[in-house]
Amino acid sequence: MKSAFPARSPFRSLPRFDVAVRILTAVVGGYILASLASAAVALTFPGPRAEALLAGGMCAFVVYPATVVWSFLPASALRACMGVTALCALLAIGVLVLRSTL
Amino acid sequence: MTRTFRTSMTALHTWCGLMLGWLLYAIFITGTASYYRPEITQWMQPELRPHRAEPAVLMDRALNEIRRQAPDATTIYVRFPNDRDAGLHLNWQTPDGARVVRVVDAETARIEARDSRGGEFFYRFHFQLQLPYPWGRYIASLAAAFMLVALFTGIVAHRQFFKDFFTFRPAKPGTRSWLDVHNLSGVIALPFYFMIAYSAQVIFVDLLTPWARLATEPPVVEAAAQPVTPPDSGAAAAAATGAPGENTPAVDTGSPGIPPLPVEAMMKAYHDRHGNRMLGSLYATGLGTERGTVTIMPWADGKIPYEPRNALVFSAQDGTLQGAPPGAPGLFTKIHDTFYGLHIARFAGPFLRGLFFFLGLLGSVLVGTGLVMWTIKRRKRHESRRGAGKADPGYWLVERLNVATLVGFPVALAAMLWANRLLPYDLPHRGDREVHVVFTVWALCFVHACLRPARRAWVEQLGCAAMLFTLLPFLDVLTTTGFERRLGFNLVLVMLGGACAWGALHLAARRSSTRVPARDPARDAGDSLPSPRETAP
Repeated sequence: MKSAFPARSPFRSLPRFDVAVRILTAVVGGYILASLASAAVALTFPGPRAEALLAGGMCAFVVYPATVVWSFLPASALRACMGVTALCALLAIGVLVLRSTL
Repeated sequence: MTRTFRTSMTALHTWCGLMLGWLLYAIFITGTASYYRPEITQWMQPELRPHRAEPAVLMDRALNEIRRQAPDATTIYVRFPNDRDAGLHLNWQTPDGARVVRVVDAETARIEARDSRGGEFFYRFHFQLQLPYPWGRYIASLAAAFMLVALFTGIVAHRQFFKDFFTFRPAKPGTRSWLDVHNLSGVIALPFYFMIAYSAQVIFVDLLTPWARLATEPPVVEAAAQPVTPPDSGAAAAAATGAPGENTPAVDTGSPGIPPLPVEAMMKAYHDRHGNRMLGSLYATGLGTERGTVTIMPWADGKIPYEPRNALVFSAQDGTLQGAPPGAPGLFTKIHDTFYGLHIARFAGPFLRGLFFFLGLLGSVLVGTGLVMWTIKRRKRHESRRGAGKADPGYWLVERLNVATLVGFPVALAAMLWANRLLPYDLPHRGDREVHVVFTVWALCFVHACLRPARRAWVEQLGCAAMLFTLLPFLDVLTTTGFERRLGFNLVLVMLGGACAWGALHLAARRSSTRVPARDPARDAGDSLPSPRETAP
């Protein structure tokens, strides 16, 4: 921890734009991804609906922090953003398809 | 600098900590206090004496009293006394929308306790932050989500902690001892923190991700009425149905002079299912209409999972049991109930409850030391820049907010307990005034922190907290009777005061011993210079 603190914090060496994109990806993108994941899990869950909702929700609470961590991993903020967006799009398509079969 | 996994995680750890640290600290403090919610209420409403009675007797007493005061109440909520909570909580709502809350003694239901939120304030602030529904819950849940992130990134950032686990150097100046406390408090209770942060969100699962429910909603609109879920002080209701619990006005429109509830039939069914088990709560809604229901919850039975499904739902008209008896819960329901139960820890006996309280305090220490470390790490640079005439407003603000939150918030809570004893007994809106005291004192603490040099502000506010907490038991003796019933709580107050006093004396001593050398820039720099091991990557 020590080396990365004050004077040489990685944030300091990054442009503001980069950090802003990461934060937006983490906070907003993370929520969208987590919500879609909860919907996808609930739609594919083999069992009573009440169980499916809980399974989906509890899965979302793992996906969200994981997405936040992920947003800060890649060297480029845009890559992180695109990764989350792509996964969101995939899941959204999946959810729409599953939903149409209800 | 190359961006490695560890440096990214460290940066993220710092960022989450700084963004949500103060909020998490306040949530941790009030949440920890909430493990003793009934005991706090007992202290703040000392008029109530413990009294044991049969469930049926208590039920009659509560409903008769509500009927006497409000024959046209359309919504009723009663919380029954138990081993720890002496009060009979009577809430009702009349057709004109007026909500009434009365806390009375269990023996006669006539002796009214002073108007005070009691432990309820701590409990509600913990997840509602005194904000309108549902924003407090959203923000508190967001804090919980980022606490998970902070925990994970913290493990990566402080991965040396396994090596450092048995290292504590209280005498060592500078960052090192703060880091040790941060690591130690982090490691000891790590599973507890993960459980708390995750379960906090599990409790509000439907509020936070309604998307699973919306996506699986059958395309044809259901005509069936939603079953009424019992609110356990609002929280369970919100979790189970997304209903805002206490904060929503009920929409029932009943006629005045509603027929009494079919107590006998209901209590017979209750007895058949739960025997002589203590009553938890009663929630009646839609009284005076055909769809009126009464939900009766038994008191927790010492099992970990929190099961709102134990509730019995009756028709308010004839007392017939509604709904099929609950089947065996599925796996995810069990997981949900277990997390819920672990978070609120109603199952815990005295020892386990004490342990949870201690772990909660450790969590506050973890967050607090993290925030202090942020300033200590940057102090040297800040001082040198200030010397060059370039002040750093960010550093200044963090330093002030640290004092005003880490010490100022406990000072404000102690001030609330003082207000509880000192405000005139029949002051209008007395309970609200107590809450105002908290926020006023908290704001004053911030102003004070801004006006004083940081070190002085720490010492003065810690000293203030020490005085307030330590003298509270004396105030208790002077102003009320029945001190012996609140002995444990008063003891804890003295211990908290002692801890604050130790902190104040410790800081003051260090200040006076370093005052002279502090003028020597070389020595000053050496103080906060990291040891060689710390600078290693």
